[in-house]
Amino acid sequence: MNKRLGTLVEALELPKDLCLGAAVITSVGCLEMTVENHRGLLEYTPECIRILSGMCRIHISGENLVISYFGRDAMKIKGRIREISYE
Amino acid sequence: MNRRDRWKGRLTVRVTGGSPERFFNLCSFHGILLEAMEKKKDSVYCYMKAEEFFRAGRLAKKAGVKVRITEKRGLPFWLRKSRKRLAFFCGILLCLGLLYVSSLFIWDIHMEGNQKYTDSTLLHFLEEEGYVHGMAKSGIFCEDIEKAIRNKYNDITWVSAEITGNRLIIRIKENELTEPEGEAEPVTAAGDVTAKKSGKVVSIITRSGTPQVHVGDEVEAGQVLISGTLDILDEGGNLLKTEQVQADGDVIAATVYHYENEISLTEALKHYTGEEKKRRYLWIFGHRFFLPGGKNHYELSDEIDTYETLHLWENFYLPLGAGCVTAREYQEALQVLSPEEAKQKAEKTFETYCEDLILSGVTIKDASCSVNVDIDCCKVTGTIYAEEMIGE
Repeated sequence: MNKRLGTLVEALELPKDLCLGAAVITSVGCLEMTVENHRGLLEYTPECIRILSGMCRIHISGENLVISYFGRDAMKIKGRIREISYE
Repeated sequence: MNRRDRWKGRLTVRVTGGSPERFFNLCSFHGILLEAMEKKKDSVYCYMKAEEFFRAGRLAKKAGVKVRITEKRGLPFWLRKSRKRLAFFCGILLCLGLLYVSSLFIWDIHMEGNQKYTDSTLLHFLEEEGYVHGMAKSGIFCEDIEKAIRNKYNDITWVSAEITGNRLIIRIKENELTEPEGEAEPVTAAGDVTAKKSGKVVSIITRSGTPQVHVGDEVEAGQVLISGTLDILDEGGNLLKTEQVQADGDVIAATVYHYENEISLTEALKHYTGEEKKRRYLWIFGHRFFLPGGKNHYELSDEIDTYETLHLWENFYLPLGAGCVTAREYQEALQVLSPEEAKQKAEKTFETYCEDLILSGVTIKDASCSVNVDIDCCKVTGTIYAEEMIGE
């Protein structure tokens, strides 16, 4: 179903963040990043943050990670970001 | 902490035990914004709005976490903490009261557009009319001020007075074409246009009435140029009846001005010694209170008064200010002009006379002057050939 929906969204050139619930990640260097369209926080430690999005889980690892703000649709992370991976 | 948080209050909370992540997710789902989330040991610290704390408490129970307040900041908490400082709150109330009371009075009278009449001249006139600094706004009638200024000064063509904040702003437009000074001749009963000056008529345009002169005629001052008596003739040229109208028209004549002036070769000059004394003062509720020192003991001196009124915003002036009276000492000395200097000065006065004539609406066709320097004075004589409207 998801694969078909993805193909359809691709074919119709629809915005994926709206149709598939994909997270929009904006990163400013390795010091700051904003995650929009998230579905919640799974884990938070100063070294690792795991976020749930509509498509996958986002794993952010680094040092001294602080969540600047945590709202319904967006969150901002500050600290030394080393790695962003999708699970 | 932003301005809104400062007004409504902000809390720093410590979240411990259970699943803090679940608590954060519940908070975000219920629209509770959490800021500066930071994990220290087993606890997570974050900021939240004071008004959202009780809602968050219910969610904490659901998530199985403990939420404790570690710090309270903002106005509501500050007010609660300072509720015993009665004198402080009384001071704030008194200050607000004073501001309100001072806003009921005029603390600044501002003039705009005046060139010929200085601010102090107009302020002095307003003072005579009863409009002074520190008077109640309710006692000011802008229409009366406008009328009074227009009646007093004939060459002020437009006046607007308005009260903005606690300032009285008076905007003025002066007549750029000043009329030559002189006694106004009485208007003739019949409504004739008469000549106010002798000359030779160059052109005449009659709008109503019967012209009595033609182009090229020499006219004397007081002579009727356009008569107010209108003769109505029939086809045969016979007089049917006469009607009295107010004569109106433009009569332009070539006139001659003879200029004579004497300039003394000695003139008094001010030599500033460079010594000056400053006397500072405070301006409170319309009264000046001089600070000690800086008294003017000079025999001859000029005084320059500068002051500044305190204002909170552009149009909200306070009845407080500060100023300084600067006295500059000078000595009088007689200066003897050289013949060349006297000649230059005499020519300059002649040029100024011509410029004044032009400003009063006279067209100068030709002007010449001769300067004779004697032992003690300098005589300047000149002739100006001009064209101007002579009817009145």
